[in-house]
Amino acid sequence: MQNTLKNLLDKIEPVSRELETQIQAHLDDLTHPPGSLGRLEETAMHYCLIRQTLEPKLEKKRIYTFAADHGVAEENLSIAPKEVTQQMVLNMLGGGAGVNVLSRHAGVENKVVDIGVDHDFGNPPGLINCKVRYGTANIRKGPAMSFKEAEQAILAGAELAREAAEEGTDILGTGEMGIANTTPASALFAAWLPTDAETVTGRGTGINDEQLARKVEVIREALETNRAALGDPLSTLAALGGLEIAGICGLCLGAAAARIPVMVDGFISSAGAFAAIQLKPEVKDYLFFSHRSAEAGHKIFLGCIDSEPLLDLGMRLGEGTGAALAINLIDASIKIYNEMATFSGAGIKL
Amino acid sequence: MISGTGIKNMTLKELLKEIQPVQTELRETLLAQIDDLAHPPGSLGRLEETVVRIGMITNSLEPETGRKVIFTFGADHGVWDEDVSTQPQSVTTEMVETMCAGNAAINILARQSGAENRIVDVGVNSDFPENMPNLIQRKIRKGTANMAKGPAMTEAEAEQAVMVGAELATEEIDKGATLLGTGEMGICNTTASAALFAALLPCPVEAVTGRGSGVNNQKLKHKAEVIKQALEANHECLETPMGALAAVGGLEIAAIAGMILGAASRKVPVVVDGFISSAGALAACRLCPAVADYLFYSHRSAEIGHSVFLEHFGHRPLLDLDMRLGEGTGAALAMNIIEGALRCYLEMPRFSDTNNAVSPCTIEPDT
Repeated sequence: MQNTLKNLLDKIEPVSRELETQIQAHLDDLTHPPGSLGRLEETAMHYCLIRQTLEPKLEKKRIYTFAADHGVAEENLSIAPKEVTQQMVLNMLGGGAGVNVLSRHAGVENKVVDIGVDHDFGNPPGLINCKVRYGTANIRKGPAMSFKEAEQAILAGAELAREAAEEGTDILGTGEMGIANTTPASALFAAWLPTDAETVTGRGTGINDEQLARKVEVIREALETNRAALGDPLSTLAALGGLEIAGICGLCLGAAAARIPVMVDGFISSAGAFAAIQLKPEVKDYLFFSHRSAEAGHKIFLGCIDSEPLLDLGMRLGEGTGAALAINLIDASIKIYNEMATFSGAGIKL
Repeated sequence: MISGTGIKNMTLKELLKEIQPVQTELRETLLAQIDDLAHPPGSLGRLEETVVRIGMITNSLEPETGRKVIFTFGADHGVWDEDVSTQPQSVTTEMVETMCAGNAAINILARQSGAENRIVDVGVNSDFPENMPNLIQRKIRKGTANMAKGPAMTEAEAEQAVMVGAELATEEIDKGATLLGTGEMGICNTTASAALFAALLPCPVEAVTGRGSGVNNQKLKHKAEVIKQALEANHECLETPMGALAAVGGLEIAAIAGMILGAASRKVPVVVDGFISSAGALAACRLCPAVADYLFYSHRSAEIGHSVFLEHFGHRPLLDLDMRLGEGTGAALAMNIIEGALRCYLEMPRFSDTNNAVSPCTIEPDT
């Protein structure tokens, strides 16, 4: 059990590049013009380095979709009312959400985690209950949650990663569901990049110009109200973030501690990954970025951390949908690494 | 619609007549059905656009996810004599053998995406054993002639290759294939493809001449010179699409063009692989502009000329992974995304379904 955040962070080591030459030699030995499989080779390399192996296995894949509500939803910044969070959780438990379909398609297990939905679900089968509180407070008026609650959410995410590792999971993916959660995500990006709120604030589910202007204002106010808290990563996360974002942050940290790669979904998941990087920069070595979200601001973040995502399909659904599609590409790259004929074996000379 | 056996006796001209433009009547209904899926409208991005296109191509509101088949056509190129590749010509044969044994990249990625892979010899410069497992033997000639000195093949041969592609495509469709993909293997075939792009787009040779399997600067310059020489030597043949395809194309490129035409004649979408497959697609589109709407471009190849082609028509491929292997590898990966898109459409609950946990009024945008 990773009982404190400090213990968790201490466990994370940078990915060693010791095997790089040997992995590259194997990739170059595959019967193809060297480098011609492009980013599939890069991802195979990255995966092998994370797992510290020349014989990668990629069988058990799992996406955690963290759900939580947001006090800032009362500012009417979304096209959907807060209740949609709980409805979508039920939809996910029923296997009907986008992430369920694309997870099935990619051979990925999908787990739904209630880390802060403002609703009592009882104990429906399949729902992992890690509820820290019933939604956050409104960030425009004060901190979203306490320091302690943020830490609790992070540790809950990390614990799920640890369990997944123990169960033999080879790759984890992130996902989320939370009405209004592009607002805290944008606030965190504004605080950490740092940049003006406007450059990282987008239309989320599809708000109009007027709502967008209001959303930018709310984020500016949130940054102002919580200014004193924005000194260190954890307090910033507590002040401006969300419980699902903290859970994703923890999942990234826990996975890195267990040397498991993480496929980061889109805009909101990236805010969680960014929180993890703020807490422990070495975590970045363990992350794959799945896709460039259509949400304005994601591109800016990806540029700032110099990460080129695998996909760019104009998606902005979240849930883990981009992660599911991209895990499929990692699967392809590992199959290439493991199954392709080699020059040394086939006797072909290119 | 043509009958299953009809295509064997058909001429190219007759095949072209079978191809109908994609019908757009269902577009609005498809868009409405997609908006009815329990998600913020438009949030599945290009997956939604993919579903709309497949619905229109197949003229169906419930497009199936059925059998997926990728054809990898192998052929050799006489222009190899001009020293434009880093590879010996025998690599075409060796790679076809590797593919037939199931160990090439395309076999792996086809398996990974649940697609079947068909390896077809339309012009490899060697003799494969008569009963070689997994090889479809439809050789038209043993490699093309050196296009730097004259036409790569006759128009009759090019037409024959086109019809082989069309016939194989329609055979698979008759056996239930719902999505086809293109692929190729042929040492030097970036040279032929670049020549074809230069002739058919048209565009300057340098813009579409790249490093292929990895030629150095000096050889790259030489490769462009050879292509210019080929265009000059075949000047008179470049006026028509078939003339250009025969003069500066390749047998695998012609077969890919035919495969696309055959699929379009049956209203089946085709996923086009990379640079060389796109040359085949361009030839098909020049023979019959209506086929353009049946095509999905899988990925942006790292071969420089591919972006020139894609941008010329405003095509946005689904993937951009810096790949340049060919064989159908990009098509296999993209098929997975296309199938994911169709499954979202077929499997996600609808707002209009009253048993659904998410009610329609709660997530509709206030416009």
